[in-house]
Amino acid sequence: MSGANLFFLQLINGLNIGSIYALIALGYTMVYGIAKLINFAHGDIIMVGAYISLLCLNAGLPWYLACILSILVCSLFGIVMEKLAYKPLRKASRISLLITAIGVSYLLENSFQLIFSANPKPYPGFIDLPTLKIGAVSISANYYVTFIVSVALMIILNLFVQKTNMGKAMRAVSEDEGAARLMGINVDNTISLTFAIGSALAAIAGILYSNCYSPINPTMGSLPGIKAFIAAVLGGIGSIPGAVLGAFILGMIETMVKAYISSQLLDSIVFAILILMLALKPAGILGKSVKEKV
Amino acid sequence: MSMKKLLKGVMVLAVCLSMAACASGSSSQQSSGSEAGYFGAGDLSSYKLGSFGPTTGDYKVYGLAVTNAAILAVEDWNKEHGTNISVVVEDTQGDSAEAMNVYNKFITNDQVAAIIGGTLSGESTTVAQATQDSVRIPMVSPSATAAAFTDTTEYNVFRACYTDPQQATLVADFAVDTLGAKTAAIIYNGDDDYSVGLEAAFKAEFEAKGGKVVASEVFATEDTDYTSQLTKIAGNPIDVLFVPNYYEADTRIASQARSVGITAQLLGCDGWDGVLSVANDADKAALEGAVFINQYSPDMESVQGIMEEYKAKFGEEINSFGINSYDATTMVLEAIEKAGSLNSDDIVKAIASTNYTGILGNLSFDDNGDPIKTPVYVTIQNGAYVTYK
Repeated sequence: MSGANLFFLQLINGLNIGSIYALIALGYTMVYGIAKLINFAHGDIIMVGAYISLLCLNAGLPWYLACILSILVCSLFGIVMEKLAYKPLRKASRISLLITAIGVSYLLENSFQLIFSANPKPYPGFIDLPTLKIGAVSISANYYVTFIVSVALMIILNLFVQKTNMGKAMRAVSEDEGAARLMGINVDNTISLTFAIGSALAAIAGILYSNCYSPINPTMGSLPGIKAFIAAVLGGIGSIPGAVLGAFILGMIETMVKAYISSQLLDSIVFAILILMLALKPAGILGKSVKEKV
Repeated sequence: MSMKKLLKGVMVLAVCLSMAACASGSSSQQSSGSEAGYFGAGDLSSYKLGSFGPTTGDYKVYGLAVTNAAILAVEDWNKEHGTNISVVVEDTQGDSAEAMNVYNKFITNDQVAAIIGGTLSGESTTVAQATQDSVRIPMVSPSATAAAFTDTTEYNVFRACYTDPQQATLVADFAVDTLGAKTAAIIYNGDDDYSVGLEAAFKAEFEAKGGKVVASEVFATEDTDYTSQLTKIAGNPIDVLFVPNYYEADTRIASQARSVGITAQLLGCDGWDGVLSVANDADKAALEGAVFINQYSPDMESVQGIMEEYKAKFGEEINSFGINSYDATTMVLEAIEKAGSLNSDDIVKAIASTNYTGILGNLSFDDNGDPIKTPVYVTIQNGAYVTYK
């Protein structure tokens, strides 16, 4: 195989990993943008979504029903999680919320280990589309479906936040919770909606992730969750296009480091980039640095 | 390790050693023979064996398999020979300090004649070192694969499973001699001693036999995407792809290797055991024809009886740890019968010169206590494990 072809293949590998990260990062950035909370349990909702769709598929439901059910259950789950764990702390310091989020993450991982055991489970992939051929290079269906879904969701989500009334309410709550309340916006409902959408995105990410990387296990979400968090920070946390851009950049860096530098240095390089980014441009590539009025 | 921990470890060891010394003294007093050394309590028709491993906790699958199969082997032996031998089972939770407590209980309270175990490499190695004083109790592990386990000064420690380097060497031989492979690539977990050890041994043997390892790619434990490394491997034509990892990673690697266009024969070691339990239909198609070395193959006629018996008694499927433990235990029972004594040195001599034929074929030991036995190659055919022919 020629060097150019090889490079092109690696590019596609990078785009695939980037798409997965993008789907997860969208949920992160959404919740952070509105609720100003880094929801560390987000990665574990991916796992919840994967297991629920797995249960549906194993029960013989068609794939679209499995997807819909998994998205619905995760949305509900996101709302319940917010009401039980985060809402009582809304007036508390950021750090308490952050630690609670880590607690929720462990709670989810360990309860799923109790229910489903720590043994990995095979996930019956259902994306059954033909492989795309470009010259000598073939792209599997999992790859382009994940890519299309992540880009489409980014566009839809951006339109939703910018153009709809609910989106406007979200932005208002994000800017000033008290003022939004005075303007007659139901802050609790808006935050619930944010968590519902974030968790629905996580469910979709979980399903696509499982299609690519069967078997699944109860801790499957933690590392992709952290990687997506890095992607969101890289792109500018709170910015929807930024999350996707950050994810593609991260996916590409990971693949190219593995391909041309060293797999063992991978995480060091990725985290070094994160530290550099935070030092040089803390708001991220597309993030706006907002001056807070005192 | 912190200084405090180290100190604690040394103290525990010192206490254990002194207890062990007392134990050997008392048991030699009890025995009627003039020989010095350690004696198991009871007589040849009713003595005790000890077996240990993590029967609770994260590793209980392995500990239960080893100890349950030892119980089963002794029951079968008793039925056949009209004896009244028993097995004392103790839980270590996989912890080496706990294993030392178990060992001391075995030689002071229970005065077992021989030990079947341990289950994990760490606990087994710790106990093996403790037996190096005057006790020299015969110890046979069905599952401790780390090379250090049998690296003892006294010749009383044996294992019934292949060591990690042995396995990889055999697979390399298989690739060259049986498959006629000339080029190979490897993809392994750089964080994991098991995987790293197998990679090194395979590479050494494959190249010693005139083959060429054209690529050796590494990944990290948490990785689920190997396409970048596999795409690199796919750039070279190869005969075999050696995948020496645990089954969860092996499944994904097989699947992703096929999707980036690698058509080479897949080869693995005993970490592959269980690979089909996590494979979906697409993975099974990718795994078709893969070959790995293992302790047994579920389609072997000789293991059918024990598989059914185990399931009926314990309600679970036996695994390779259990099968190996059954054979190891029966081998020890036979050696004790041959030795005609419960003296540890006599039993060790009998085990060392054993030429046992069990459900897994022949088993004897080299000068180091490592096994000489028939390798079993398992291949995947129509989504099932089949002995490679």
